[in-house]
Amino acid sequence: MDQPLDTSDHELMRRCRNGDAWAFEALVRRWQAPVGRMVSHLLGPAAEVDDLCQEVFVRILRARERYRPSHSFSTWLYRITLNVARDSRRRQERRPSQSLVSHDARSPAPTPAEALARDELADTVAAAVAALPDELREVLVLKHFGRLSFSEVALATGLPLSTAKSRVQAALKQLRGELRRRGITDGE
Amino acid sequence: MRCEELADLLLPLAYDELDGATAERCRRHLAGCEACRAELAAIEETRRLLDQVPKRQTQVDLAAVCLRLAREQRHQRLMLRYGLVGAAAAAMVAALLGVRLLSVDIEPGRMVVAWHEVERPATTVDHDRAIVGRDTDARPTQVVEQERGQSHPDLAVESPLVARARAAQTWPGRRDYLAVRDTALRWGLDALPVVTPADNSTSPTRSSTYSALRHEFLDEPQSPPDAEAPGA
Repeated sequence: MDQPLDTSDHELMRRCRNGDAWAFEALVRRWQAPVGRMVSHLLGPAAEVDDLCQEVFVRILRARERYRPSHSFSTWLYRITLNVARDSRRRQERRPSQSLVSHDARSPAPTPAEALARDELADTVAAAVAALPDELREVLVLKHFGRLSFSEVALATGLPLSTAKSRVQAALKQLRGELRRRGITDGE
Repeated sequence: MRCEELADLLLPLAYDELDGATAERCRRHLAGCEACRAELAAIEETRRLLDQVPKRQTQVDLAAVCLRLAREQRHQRLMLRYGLVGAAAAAMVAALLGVRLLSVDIEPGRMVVAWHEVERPATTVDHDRAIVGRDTDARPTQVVEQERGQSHPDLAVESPLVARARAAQTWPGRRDYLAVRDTALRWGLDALPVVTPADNSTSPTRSSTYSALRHEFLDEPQSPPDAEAPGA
């Protein structure tokens, strides 16, 4: 049984609170891919994305009674996603032998002369995002991949609005520098 | 507008988060300022590169989500009710409550059926529930609660007392079986997932299979195959 495509997230959560298993399934199907991308960008290509996505939806289900539609569902969802990512990162940091970031992020930048195929470009950009400091990567991922507004980014991260904006700006600037270092110049 | 003022607005402008009047002021400034135009172009180019990052496919295991929550809630209920500590104690309490924790090895190709009879403390049968696991790629992906009286294409209310679930897939591992079993427990089922003869059919003979299941797991005499039950 599928929920109508135009059923809002708020409505699905309301039904989920009332024990509607279909509503929860509809939410999962609608948001599992964006959550997966969010986790992947927050933690890098080496992350156990599927398991962490599952953790996100466990927390959604666990917290369903406390959900209030005062903000967008995506803001609440991504806040939970961010917390899951941060918890995972803390667990990883307690295991010093495992790197949070793919080794590609630390490898020497390719020479400008190397031809960059489309996949190589995508991987390089992903690695550059993974190489950003955590506090910059988080806001950039929420803003760009989560499509949150600046005020929603601030809500999701608990930062003041001005700080959220300045961190996104710093993230983009640092990312540009990182991409330049890796041989991807503006206009490529 | 000065460049310093635009610098604070450049990012919201790039992400289309400015009101119309402010955005227009910014564009007028940009029309006459090459440096600010270059800065905006750099932001937009970086955003374009970010859009190149491949989209990863993710599949959330719904049954596993329900299973985890079920275990937490069950554990909490038992702890609250009996004030006992420890999973071992909870298991003992569960046994005392008549919930059998059977272990059944699922072989590939076998169907799994979960069914249930409910008898409330007042000895009246309120409703019946069943769990069906709709499986793709050998992993449980869907959990449905079916109340008696509602229709669902995958369930057949076989009698006023029993709702039966059917699943067609292969669950190659004990972990998947446990996922269905514990999900069944979460929904208040007393009966446990059982295994039908391997035929990979989505429509096993209802009454004969049902009888075989009850014989195998409840020690009831197995009745001969008969006509299909009403309501199926």
